[in-house]
Order: sequence, then C-alpha cells, then structure tokens
Amino acid sequence: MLVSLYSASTGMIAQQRRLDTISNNLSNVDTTGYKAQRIEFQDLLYTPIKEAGTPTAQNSVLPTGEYVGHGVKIGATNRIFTQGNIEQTGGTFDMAIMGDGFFQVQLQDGRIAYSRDGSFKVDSNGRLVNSQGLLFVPNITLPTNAESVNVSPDGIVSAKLPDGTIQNVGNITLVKFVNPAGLKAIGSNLFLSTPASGVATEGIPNQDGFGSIEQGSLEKSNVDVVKEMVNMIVAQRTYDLNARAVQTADDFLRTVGTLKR
Amino acid sequence: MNRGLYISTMGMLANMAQLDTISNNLANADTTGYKKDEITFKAYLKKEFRNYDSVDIKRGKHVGYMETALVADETKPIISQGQIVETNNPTDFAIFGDGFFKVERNGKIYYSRNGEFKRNQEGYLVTSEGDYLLDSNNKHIQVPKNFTVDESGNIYNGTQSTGQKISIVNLKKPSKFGINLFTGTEVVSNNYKIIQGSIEKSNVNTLKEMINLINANRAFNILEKSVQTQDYMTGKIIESAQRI
Repeated sequence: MLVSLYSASTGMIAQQRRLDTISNNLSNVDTTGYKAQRIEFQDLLYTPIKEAGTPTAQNSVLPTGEYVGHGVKIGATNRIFTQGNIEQTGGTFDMAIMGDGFFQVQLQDGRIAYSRDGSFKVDSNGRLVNSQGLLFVPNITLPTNAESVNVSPDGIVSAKLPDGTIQNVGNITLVKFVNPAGLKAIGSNLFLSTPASGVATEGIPNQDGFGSIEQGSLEKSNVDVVKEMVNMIVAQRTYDLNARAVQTADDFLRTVGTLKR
Repeated sequence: MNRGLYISTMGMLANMAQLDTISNNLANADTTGYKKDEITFKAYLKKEFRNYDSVDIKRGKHVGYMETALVADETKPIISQGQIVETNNPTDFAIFGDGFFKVERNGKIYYSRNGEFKRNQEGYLVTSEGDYLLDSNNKHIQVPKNFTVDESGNIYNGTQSTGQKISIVNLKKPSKFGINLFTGTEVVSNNYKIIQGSIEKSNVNTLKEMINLINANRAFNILEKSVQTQDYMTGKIIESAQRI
C-alpha cells in the first residue's frame, strides 16, 4: 500500500497527542505549582529507494539518491520548570518557592514525593500536612496554642505563644535536582525522583539556588495561555493538512482500483 | 503493446512517490528543526522522430524528440532557515544561519538542527534521545544550572566562561538519518548565530505542500483517464480483429 497513507496518519496521531498535552496544560492553568508540558517530535527513519552514490552513467553518481520518509513520532513530553507567577494569598501556611527547590511530603507507603505546591495545612495534632493530609518532610509540629506562625525566607518556622514568647518549632528544608524535567509526575501536584532526574540534594532555603520561601503566597502554574492557544491553532491546522494527505492517498488507491473496467 | 500505457503508468508511479514525500513533510510540519524533502523527476529514453516521406527517403527529416519515460530521480533535503520561535527555556537553542549542532549517538557523530536539549542528571546537555551535544573539541558539554550561551556558542556561568563552546559545523552533502539527525561531510560554518531560549520550527511551507498535493492528485486522475482510454482503444482493436 501507499507509504503516504501511513506517514500522513502518523502526522494526525502526533497532532492528536499534542492537543492532549495542550488540553492538560490549559485545564491546569489555575493549579498551584503546576508545570507546563511540551511535546517534542522527531522524524522517523528513511527508506532508501535509490542509494546516494549509485553510478548513473560512466562518470557520474547520484548526489543524494531517492528515499522515502515514514512520518513523525513523539520524541518526548518535556516538562518546563520555569518559575510560575507568585500570588499573595495571606494564608499562614501558604508558601511559595522563589527558585529551583521543591517541598517534600511523605506518601502513605513511606516514599518521599516532591512538590512545588505550597498550600499546606495543619492537622488536628498540629502537624504540617499538604492538602491531601500527607506529612510535610522534615516533620513540623506546631504548638496547639500558637497565636501566629511565622516562616522566614530561609525556612525557620517560629510560633508566637499566648504569653508573648516566640518558640522556634523547626526548619523547612528544600531539595533540588540536576534535571527536574526527568521527574515523574504522579498527579496531585506531586513528583517522584527517577534515574533521569538524579537524586534529590537537600539544602537550606535562600542558599545555593534552593530558592527562598515566601510565606502567605502561592506559586501559580507556569502555563502561558496565549502560547497554548497558538499551539492549538497550529495543531488543528496541521491535523487538517495531514487528513487531506490521507484522503489523497485514499483517492489514489480508489483510482487504482477502478483502472480496469 | 501500447507504449502510451506504460508512459502513463510511470507518471502515476511518479505521482505516488511525490505524495509520499508530501505526506512525510506534512507529518513533520511541526517537528523542531525538520528540513523538508523535495523530490525531482527526470524524463529519459529520448526518442528521435524522423519524417521519411519527404525529401530523403533513406535518412528522413528530423522532426523532434520525445521522452518516453518518467521516473522519480532523487529526493533531497532542502536546508533553508525555519522560523525562530521563543520558548524561554534555557536549554533550547536555535541556529540562525548555516550549520548544524553536533551530537554523539552510540559513539558516532551526527548533525542536527533540532535544539530542544535537556540537562541530564549529570548536568550534560543531551537530546531527548539522550544523545550528547558536542563542543568544539568533540567533548560532551556539562553546564551549570544557570548557564548562558552567547551567539557564537560560548558557554558562561554568570560572567565566567566555562571554557566550552557549542560546535556548529556546516555539511557539504547533508543526508537524513531520521530522529532529527543528519549525516554528511563537515565543513566550517562562519555564518551562524545561536539563540538561547528559542527553537527553530520546521521549514515546511504547508501552502506549497498543499498545492503540490492538489497537483499530484489531479495529474494522477488525468493519467488514469489516459490509461483507460488506451485500454479502451486496445479493446476496440481486438473487437474489430474478431469481426474479420
């Protein structure tokens, strides 16, 4: 059958996947700490029909030969870890990271997950948890009678008690990765480390690029809506064009079928 | 047998080859750094027509030539500049001008215009396949977190040069390998600018491809008619022969 029928259909499939990525980005445009994904394409292999360098006459060879390409494939969906916008919320346990670091939380099975989502809460025992109730790492427990809590840019958590004394209740540490794009997203704004991301290195906020902590703020997603909309237009048009090529290939085949009357 | 039948069929095969090329270009209209293919055709089996009924019965008079066959001649990548689009991703580079990035894959060197690099777990710049980007000494390139690249490809950590320079070379006869890579003969490129935080889109002109598609489609349908007509004529000859 025709190569074009298949190569043009790979183009349609690729654009479909691109639209999936765009849709996911747009649906998370308001998700705290969400990082946009980008889809990257690669051309597939080429089948030589005539090899370059084949002699064509006594003293001449084909300069480039003739080959046929087989379409496109998805190379990667790459997550872009640029800083999102910081929005002031005034929440005591809302924290935004201004830099490359990640917060750590402990999953039910004991593994550590990483997140840029800093909307933390305090459970009934005074422990700092994320919105799903997962424990903050390192564990921080606040005195139940605390009147107010302050988090400094370098992660020192202190509570003001009713008698006016300030009690230091713990230090927040952040982790960073050499290749954050290699992290595995597991939903709920959480990531797991992989061999590609490298291991987490722990450090003190506001030092060595870990990023400072801004209390009373949240980091919004870094989705650029205009860019996504432009990509959506491009995806749709490219999809249409490839569909047209599929139709043409179909027309060729139908024609061949009707050659003999 | 009827020569025209074969000429028409060859034309149809050429149109099919053209459609294959167009489809691959359209499928990759959105592939970063993709360079479009162009297919050329050639006519051959030139026949001379002579008129023997006039002046010189023996030699005849030269009337003209006719090409009696058409085949796809060659496919070649067209290395023209694609559009440069800003992504603000520091590990994305676009080449403006002539040349290719050098990447190492399984110990072999390939060339690419796709600048969607990543910083891997050891801090090396790699493609999405994990192939290493090479510097001017054919060494892997290790970059700090907040590195910058100037227009000639020198890498800096803040204001300090890291001593490495992204290698950009031109290719004499670029040929496609797939997965955004090219092979070819290296020559020096002096006319390029590297733009950090941008990528180069494919150079596929969708309007042109669409026009070619319509052309190929119509030509194919016309040739079909020509095949059918010749088939019909042959049928007529057979019919009349049966009546004798």
